[in-house]
Amino acid sequence: MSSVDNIEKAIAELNLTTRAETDKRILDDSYTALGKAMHKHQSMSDTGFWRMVLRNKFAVPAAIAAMIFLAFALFVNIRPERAINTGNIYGALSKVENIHITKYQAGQTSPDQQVWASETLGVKLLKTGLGSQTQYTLWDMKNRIKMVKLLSSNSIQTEPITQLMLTELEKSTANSTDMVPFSDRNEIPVEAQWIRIDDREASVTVAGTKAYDLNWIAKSTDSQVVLHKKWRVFAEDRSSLPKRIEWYSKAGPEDEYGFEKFVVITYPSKDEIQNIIRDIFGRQDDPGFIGTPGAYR
Amino acid sequence: MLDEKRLIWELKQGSKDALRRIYMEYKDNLLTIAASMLHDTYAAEDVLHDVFVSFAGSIGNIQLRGSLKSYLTASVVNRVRDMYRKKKHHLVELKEAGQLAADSDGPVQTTEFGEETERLTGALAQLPLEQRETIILHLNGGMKFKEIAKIQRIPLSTVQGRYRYGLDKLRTILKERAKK
Repeated sequence: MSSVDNIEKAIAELNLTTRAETDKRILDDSYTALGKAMHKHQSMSDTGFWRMVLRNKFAVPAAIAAMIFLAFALFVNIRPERAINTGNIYGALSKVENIHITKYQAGQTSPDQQVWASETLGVKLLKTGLGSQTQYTLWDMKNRIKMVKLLSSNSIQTEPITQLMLTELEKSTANSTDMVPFSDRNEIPVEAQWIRIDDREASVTVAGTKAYDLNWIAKSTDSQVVLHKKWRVFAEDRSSLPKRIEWYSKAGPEDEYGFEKFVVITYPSKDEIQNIIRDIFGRQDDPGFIGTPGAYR
Repeated sequence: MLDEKRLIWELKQGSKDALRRIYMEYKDNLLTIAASMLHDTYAAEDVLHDVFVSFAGSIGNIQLRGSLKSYLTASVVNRVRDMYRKKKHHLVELKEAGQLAADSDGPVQTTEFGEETERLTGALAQLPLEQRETIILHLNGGMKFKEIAKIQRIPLSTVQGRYRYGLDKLRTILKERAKK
């Protein structure tokens, strides 16, 4: 078919694609423009409102009415919805000091493993296995001692933590591959899509959270194999901290996503983690016990 | 399909992700529209750049009455018109373009077009701007004649006339080229 025969169809099918460097240039400049616009908007919000109120006698009653309404809205718990982005989530996780991660395979009700980590205490505790086969491994980084307890034998083994082990441990806590798809937020591909999803779309509802999807295409190093990946995060409204994370993947764009695994996350206090460790390893009747059990063995 | 209202709302909160999603969704179509009107992909990329930077920079003041796509398409059209008016772009208009295109079998302004695309956009470049704009907005931008009439601030019948005459002329140009 030549363009003369069906000229309308030919024009409708014209399709040019931007170059990658053009995308980068436009997005970078647009982000800068957006940043400036937000800053300007913020400055105006900070100063313009009060200036207007002070100068305009009619604005005073209106402002008072608005404040009463706002107070009422807060009282009845009506808050404007805040959008959470990947930066908020990575930022919130980077500040976490104490965390408890429970990992499940899709369709399983018993966890594969549980991890408690406390930066404050300098410890990481791993629980694997079920029932009498349960094993606890504690890395007491402050005291450089690793302790392993098997429930079946009720025995505790200890060994020193090497510098290499310590380096690996320090890397792996909140940036665990079960938590975030990329160790650095800047590694998220430009083409990845971040979408707020409707609660009805989500498999579960997690109180106080909103669900978001990060969709991207993962390529093998030679770019021959691609996998469509989905990272679904249920992030807490106020703190942006994830409470649940689900992992999905599919081979082709037309396929259905397959649910692979999920993690449930809580943020206990250091005392709560200390108590858990003490229950497993510590001598609860020891008055000198302060939560780094390796130091007392 | 984008949830435009939500994206605009997120963008107004400063979300770069929302901006990126909007850009990724519409960039190729907007580039095609600009390039078809300008017959120059590099100038079209500059238009796309200006449209998105301006869009991001004025997000606080934007009130969408129609769809986001229509808004961005109208922005592209306005930028292209500005280029014409300010004569910053070395656009080859009407007869001059026709002469140049007729003298050359290769691309006029760019090396980025494919052969068929080049033939079409080369022929489009010989149309008066108003006819070219109408044809591209309707066929490539997916806009209804009514929407185009609103953008161009002219009666609906004029839009339909520009479209019809433009297509006829385009057919003639392409037939003449095919004979050579």
